[in-house]
Amino acid sequence: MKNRAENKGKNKITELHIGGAFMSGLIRETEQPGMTLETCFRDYLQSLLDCDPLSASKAIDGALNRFRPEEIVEMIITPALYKLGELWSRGEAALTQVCAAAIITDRAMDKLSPYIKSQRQVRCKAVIGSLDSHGFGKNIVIRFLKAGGIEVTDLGIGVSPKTFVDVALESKADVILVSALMFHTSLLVGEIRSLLEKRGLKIPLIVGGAPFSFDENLYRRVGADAMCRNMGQLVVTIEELVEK
Amino acid sequence: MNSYERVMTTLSHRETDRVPVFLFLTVHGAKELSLELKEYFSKAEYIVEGQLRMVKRYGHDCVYPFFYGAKEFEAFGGDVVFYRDGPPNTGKPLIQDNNDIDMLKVPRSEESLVLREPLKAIELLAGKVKGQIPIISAVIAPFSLPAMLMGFERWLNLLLFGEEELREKLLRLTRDFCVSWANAQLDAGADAIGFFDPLATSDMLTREQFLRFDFELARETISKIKGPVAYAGAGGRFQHIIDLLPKTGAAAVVISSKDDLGSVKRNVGEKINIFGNLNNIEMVDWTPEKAEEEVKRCIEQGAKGGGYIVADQHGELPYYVEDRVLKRIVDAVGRFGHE
Repeated sequence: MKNRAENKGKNKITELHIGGAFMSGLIRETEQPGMTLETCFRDYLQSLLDCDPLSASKAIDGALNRFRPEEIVEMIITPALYKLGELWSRGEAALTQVCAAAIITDRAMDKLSPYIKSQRQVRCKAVIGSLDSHGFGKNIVIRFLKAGGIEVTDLGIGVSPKTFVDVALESKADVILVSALMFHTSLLVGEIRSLLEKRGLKIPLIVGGAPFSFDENLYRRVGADAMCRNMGQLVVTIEELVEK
Repeated sequence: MNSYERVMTTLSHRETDRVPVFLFLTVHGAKELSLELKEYFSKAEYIVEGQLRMVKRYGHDCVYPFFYGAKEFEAFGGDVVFYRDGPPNTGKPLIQDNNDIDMLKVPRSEESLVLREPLKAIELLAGKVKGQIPIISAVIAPFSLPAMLMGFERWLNLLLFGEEELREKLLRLTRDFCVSWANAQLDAGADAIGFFDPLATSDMLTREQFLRFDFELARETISKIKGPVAYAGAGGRFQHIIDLLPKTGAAAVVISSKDDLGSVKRNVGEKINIFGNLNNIEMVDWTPEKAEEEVKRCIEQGAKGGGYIVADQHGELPYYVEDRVLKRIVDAVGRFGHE
């Protein structure tokens, strides 16, 4: 994993997604009358919950007057996305809000990218794909991961177990992420595991999707290393498994 | 009391000889007939034979000639992808950009070649079990069908950020198709229709969004369907809108394993019938003892005073749910379900 040692303790998503506690630390460093990173974070999060792109755009414009674009990505956009993912996994937000957040965030990133001078450091490489025709959850995950500094190769939908393994090998991926919305397609994860074992590969395998959330033991039965319900959990799990 | 009488009596909140139980077996018939799923779904006669054999084997209280969710997508002209061990899935979305909505050809239920076999299956079953065993079929709700036709993300983009006029146009098309398809199935002999609206569940939509986008649409659609409708979330939770569902005109709601059956019963049990709550995904790994325990829990939480039918949360039991588990579910209803 590239630059992991340098990143350690400096820019960890685990700290970012804690939200409140970490943000209060930021306020002391950057507090200015009327606008802090925390107030921007809250405004931006609220605009995501309201599915309101105009408010989101306003929040980003306001933040651009005071903070560096990199800070806006790291301290406002990314934690807001993680917070929303966390709320969704607890049943306190709906997928429409998560979807709207992804679309709104795409627009925000389009706005910010011309101002971001240096590329963010790549924390690790992942390949991701869906075993069936459902790509929506996967597409949202990709946006979140990219915002978190993870390089992602998107294999698309209806991906065969062999393709997962072939591409993971070619791209020297640190982790394989598999999405399935249907129970019978979730069972294909077992074939990915078998192929990895046959080739002597120890790439971590993380799964997500409805069947895994309805049966918390299913991921083990199909041979995955972990199952994640939200973005914060996914990034932490990736870090843990990749560091092993 | 036969199954039909038992179910109808329960639905009118009156006492029956025992709590009814629905096994929504869409793919097990293929196993029984030793057919690949693609072949099984190619002929009404196979579905009918599969359903009759299933009901004979397990003794549950419905036949379920529903083919698969993607059938409607297929009727609109889409391709489906078949699997060895589960229901087919939709292929490439028909609507690739919003302009395609104008080109969409809405199938006529009675004339569509794709819908001919499902209608025939209902007719054949009606000829054999009408009045003895309820014939349950299903439609995709007009609010959820666009997710199949154009892909989930594109539909939510249009819904949340797109042109209202275009969205309304699409929803009018799906509403009219839904009404026509549901009524064609009722005319063919179905006794009740599952109204699958997974996009209305709390995992997908907030209560405010349901009220804004879906409630009136569902109410209007259901009012035009000439038979009882069960609101179904395909496993998703309804607790955020459970008080609104009786107002849509639905006669029943199929609830998630993640919904609290006891709470739903207390809150709306007198206004709407409740089906479901068994976890169809975990069921694959259940022992017969676990199946019995779950059925007992459901009956204790939901059956008092009628208006509850033991069933899975989704309306579709996975291929790998074992025979001994299915048998024990029905046996357990016989054991614990006497009111």
